[in-house]
Amino acid sequence: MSKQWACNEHECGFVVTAADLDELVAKVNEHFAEAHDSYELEEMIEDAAIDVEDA
Amino acid sequence: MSTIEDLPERTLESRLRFTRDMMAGPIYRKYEKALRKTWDPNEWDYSQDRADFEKLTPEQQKGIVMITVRFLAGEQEVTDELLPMIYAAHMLGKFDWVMYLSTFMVEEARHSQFFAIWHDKVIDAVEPDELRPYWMDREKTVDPSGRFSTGEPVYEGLPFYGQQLLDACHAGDMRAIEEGFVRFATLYNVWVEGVLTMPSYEIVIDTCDIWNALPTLRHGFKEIVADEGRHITFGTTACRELIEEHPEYAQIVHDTINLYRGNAVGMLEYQRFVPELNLDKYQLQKVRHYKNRCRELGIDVDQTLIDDILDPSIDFVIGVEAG
Repeated sequence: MSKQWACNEHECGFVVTAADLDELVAKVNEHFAEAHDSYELEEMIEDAAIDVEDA
Repeated sequence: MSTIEDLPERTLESRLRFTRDMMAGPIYRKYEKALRKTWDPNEWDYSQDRADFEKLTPEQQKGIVMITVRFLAGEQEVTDELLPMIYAAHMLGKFDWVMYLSTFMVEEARHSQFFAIWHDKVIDAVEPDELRPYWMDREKTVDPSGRFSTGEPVYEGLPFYGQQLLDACHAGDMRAIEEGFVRFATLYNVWVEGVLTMPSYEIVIDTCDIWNALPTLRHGFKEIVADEGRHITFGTTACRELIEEHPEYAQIVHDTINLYRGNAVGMLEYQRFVPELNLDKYQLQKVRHYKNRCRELGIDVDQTLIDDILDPSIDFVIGVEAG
């Protein structure tokens, strides 16, 4: 199973998928830095992450 | 009148509270994480911040302290007003909540300590008369359309709803305790910590970056906001558990947010004091954080609130000067 998270920034909806939570947190924050000049907290990413079947 | 001798014998289950399910649960894991992530503001060096602060213009000094002084006061207030949550967790028999909240209270106290040390060492001000020149009276911020008002959810809402929760606990009314917990956690963890304050952390961190100054203030905010992530998601996880059992509690969340809706829809006065900041970014963030909290709570968003936050015609006016 992989971990998936969707961005809630206004008019974004970008979806990040990663092998585990550590990778997900890193990838989400790459997205936030590049797309929104911001960051997302680790706890919030972990709590919003859902399990998805591996591609 | 009963005496202590009349009390029934305690069961073993009421004395041994640990279960494997509890230890594998999300709130117990937040407790463990809080223990691993501790920090001590007494170990930090404030001399560069003092040197940087002395080089700022009077407008910059006033601008940054107008923000930090709100944090200094707010952290003290929440440290002092957390007790009803712990009492409610005890009454609901949620030992993992009690354990986590013990770290929560220490963290709020440590945040207060950090801000007290920073103000004392950097601007030589920590007591009320010394900080009065920097304090803005938020209740006097005005919405020219007359549709919204700003209030004080921390200084009015938390003591008021905390007292209601204490009264429910004293009465042993389990339904009122659950409802009171959802109301208090919504105001505190969801709305104040989870939506209204989140952009303010970023405003301070961005300001330190733009000015290339105040490294210990910046570091402190980064440490604090990581703690806040646990606080916020404790509140949303705990409320979600109660809402799943009683879906009607979702309305308590919406009603509580609406009490202080005005605090999110307009720009607050202090957000304007650093002209280099992109204020639209922080307004958009309120929507993201609100949608995140609803996602964690497992409830629908109120689209009218999002529309109000994004409505460019709603703007507030600074109604009063500091001091």
